[in-house]
Amino acid sequence: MENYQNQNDPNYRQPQTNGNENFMVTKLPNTTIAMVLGIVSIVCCCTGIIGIICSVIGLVIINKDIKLYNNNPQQYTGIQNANTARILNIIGLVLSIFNILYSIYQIMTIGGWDAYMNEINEAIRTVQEQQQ
Amino acid sequence: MLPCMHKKMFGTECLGCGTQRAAYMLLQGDFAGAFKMFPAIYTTVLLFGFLFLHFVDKKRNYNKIIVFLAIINAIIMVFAYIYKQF
Repeated sequence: MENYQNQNDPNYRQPQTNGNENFMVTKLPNTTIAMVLGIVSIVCCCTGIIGIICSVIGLVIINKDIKLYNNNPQQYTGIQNANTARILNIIGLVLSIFNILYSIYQIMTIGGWDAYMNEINEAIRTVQEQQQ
Repeated sequence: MLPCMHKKMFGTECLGCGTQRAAYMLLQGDFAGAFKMFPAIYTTVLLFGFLFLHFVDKKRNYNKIIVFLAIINAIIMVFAYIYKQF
């Protein structure tokens, strides 16, 4: 009888038992990969394109991990490592974008894409003439 | 040594140019020369050292140091690059 009254009470809440306490606590799966990708993107930022590819892949992976962690925080550990990896990836992305913008600026100052290709072809030709 | 694609294509140096030369100078003991070649070399070396520790030594927490060094490293790289260009 007491139990029945309790359930009708609007303030009554069933105790939450989602069973997470019984699961093994595991590490977030892709943190190390994302961290390595972030380091690669910082190192390779001078090529621009490789840095952007690595850091975008790393950001996607690490955002998946952080979403996993936010969905049930009790099951996973290593959120600090995930945040570190995310910041490394963001830094790599910023450096790569800076470099690519500078490359585009240089192409514009040479005088557009066609002028740039002409210049490259001339440079290759002069090198070949020197070798002959 | 690895060539820089940016330098080959445009003829000017990129953000990371000089890292390998600076590391080579460090190995030879030319510390001032390394700093002049690439001012962010010391934070880069520290960053990689702490990253190595982070992957080897699981007991301690190096996350804050790594993030701090990475941000400092990026700032020094960008400002040194701008200073070199102008």
